[in-house]
Amino acid sequence: MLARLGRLADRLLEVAAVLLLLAMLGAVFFGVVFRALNRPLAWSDELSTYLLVWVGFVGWIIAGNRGSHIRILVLLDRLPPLLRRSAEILIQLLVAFFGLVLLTRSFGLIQRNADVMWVSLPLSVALVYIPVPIAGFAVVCQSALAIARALRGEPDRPAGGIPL
Amino acid sequence: MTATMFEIMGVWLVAILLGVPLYAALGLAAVAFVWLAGMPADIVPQKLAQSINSFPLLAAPLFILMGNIMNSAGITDRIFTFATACVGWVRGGLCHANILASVIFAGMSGSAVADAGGVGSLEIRAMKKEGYDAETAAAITAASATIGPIIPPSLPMVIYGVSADVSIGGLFLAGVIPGLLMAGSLAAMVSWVAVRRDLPRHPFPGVRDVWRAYKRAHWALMTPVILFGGMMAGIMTPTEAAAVATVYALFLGLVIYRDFDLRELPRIIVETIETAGIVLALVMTAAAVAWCLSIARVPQTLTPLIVEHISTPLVFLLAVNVLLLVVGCFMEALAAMLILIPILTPVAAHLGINPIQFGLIFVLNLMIGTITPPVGVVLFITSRIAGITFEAMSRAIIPWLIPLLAVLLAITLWPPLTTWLPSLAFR
Repeated sequence: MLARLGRLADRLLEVAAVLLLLAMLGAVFFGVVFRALNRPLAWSDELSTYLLVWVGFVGWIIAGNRGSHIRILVLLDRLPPLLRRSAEILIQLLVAFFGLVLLTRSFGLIQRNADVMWVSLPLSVALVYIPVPIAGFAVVCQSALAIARALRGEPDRPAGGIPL
Repeated sequence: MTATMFEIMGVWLVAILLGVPLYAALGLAAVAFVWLAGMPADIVPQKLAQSINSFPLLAAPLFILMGNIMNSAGITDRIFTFATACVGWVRGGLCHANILASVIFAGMSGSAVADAGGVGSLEIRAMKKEGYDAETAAAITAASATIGPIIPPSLPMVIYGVSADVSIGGLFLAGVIPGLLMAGSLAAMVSWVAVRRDLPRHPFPGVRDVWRAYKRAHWALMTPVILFGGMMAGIMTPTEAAAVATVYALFLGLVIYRDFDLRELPRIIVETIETAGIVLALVMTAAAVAWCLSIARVPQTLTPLIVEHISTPLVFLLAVNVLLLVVGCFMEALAAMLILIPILTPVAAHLGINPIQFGLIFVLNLMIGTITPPVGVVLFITSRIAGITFEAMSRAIIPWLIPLLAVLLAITLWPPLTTWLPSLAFR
């Protein structure tokens, strides 16, 4: 049941990722095209940067699911297994705490911005802050899963590197 | 408040060394500061979302997407074939072709990892087939991959420009000469090694075959022309150029070359967004910390302390080089960049160093950091492609660091190498 829910969430995220990135690319591209045709779009900048915020948080969640956020494991990997597992649990508790801050402290922002409108489109500025609690919730879930893995003695997922 | 922030940074440093994911460590540092300073914690999520609500930063995911599409659309293959036809007949020809292909690919991709993983895997395979040892092939590929983010477009320059508030177009132009110098110095090193080790060469293919290879690659080679032309002519911002070039890459793969499978696109996009997520999570949390640092007046406290001991720009730049090279050995380039920008750029500004030259020095240092052991993303990738151990890779890369360090020294000592081109365009 939980596994099915997890797969469903993964799938949903990937669909969201594809749609968001294509929409963002489209907004910038058509902004250039229509300006060249001398019929500039008022909303292309605003829409594309707001979409970037969503892209950023959706990417953050996907990277979290795949365990590819950057961390330095040199020291952690030298610890004996039991100590390493305990350290991993402590670390994940810290990460979960950060997620909890994002989850609980962003509703005020959403509320205060709910009736503020975009300049170029009749949409609410609160939309910019909506991905924050979602990401916070995802961080908490991911940490909980990582703690469960550590308790069962499974290895945690390898950390990725930054593609620069 | 300044003291509080210093204490937090101390705890933070211990936390990342112990293995707390970098973005979480940065985020927690910001949360801790805001709480200890008695400010509402809502500021942290607000800073996160607002820091990436930025049009220039939009170029980052677009450049990642463009590189990924280029690599899947058979474009890299055409570029490498063209490069081999051009310089393959010189002694050590495939090494030169490797460097030339990286220079061309650098003009359409902004990341050393995209270069190493894309055109790099072709290069290593071809070189091994021709009898080069895997270590040499991998080392040259890794060294030339660092040209990718120096010749524009460039992912780290977008992030540097946004975080340090420097013109991204200016940084892009400033990278052209150093990038070509890197290629030149690597080629010089190849020529020297080629004679000593009697490396293989191809027979000259004839002008007609070179022309044929060019024609196969012609439309791909137009990508940098579109990017540069658009930006230089003032028609497009870097972000817009990134979007147009991405659409062009898709058009090439789908309509002109027809070797890009549209069903691949979702996978490529998810990969892109994952990468963008890693990068942007750091950009967001680092921006929150940068805000805390400025509220706590850390730069104002640190700058006089540093300037007191280092009073000339040159000594400061040399010290920055040493610092960044050491940090680059142990830390991921982007993370190091984001953390050090708010601390080092005020000092550079105080000493009257050109912000574009400083940005280039920053980025080049960190690119060299991607090929210095024990932590080097590019080394990791090339060793895996070449099928050698990370240790062997680390030993093989060392001589190839010398030409790159020489270029770094050159741009440190002689500002016009980086400032001349931008001053020409933005007069």
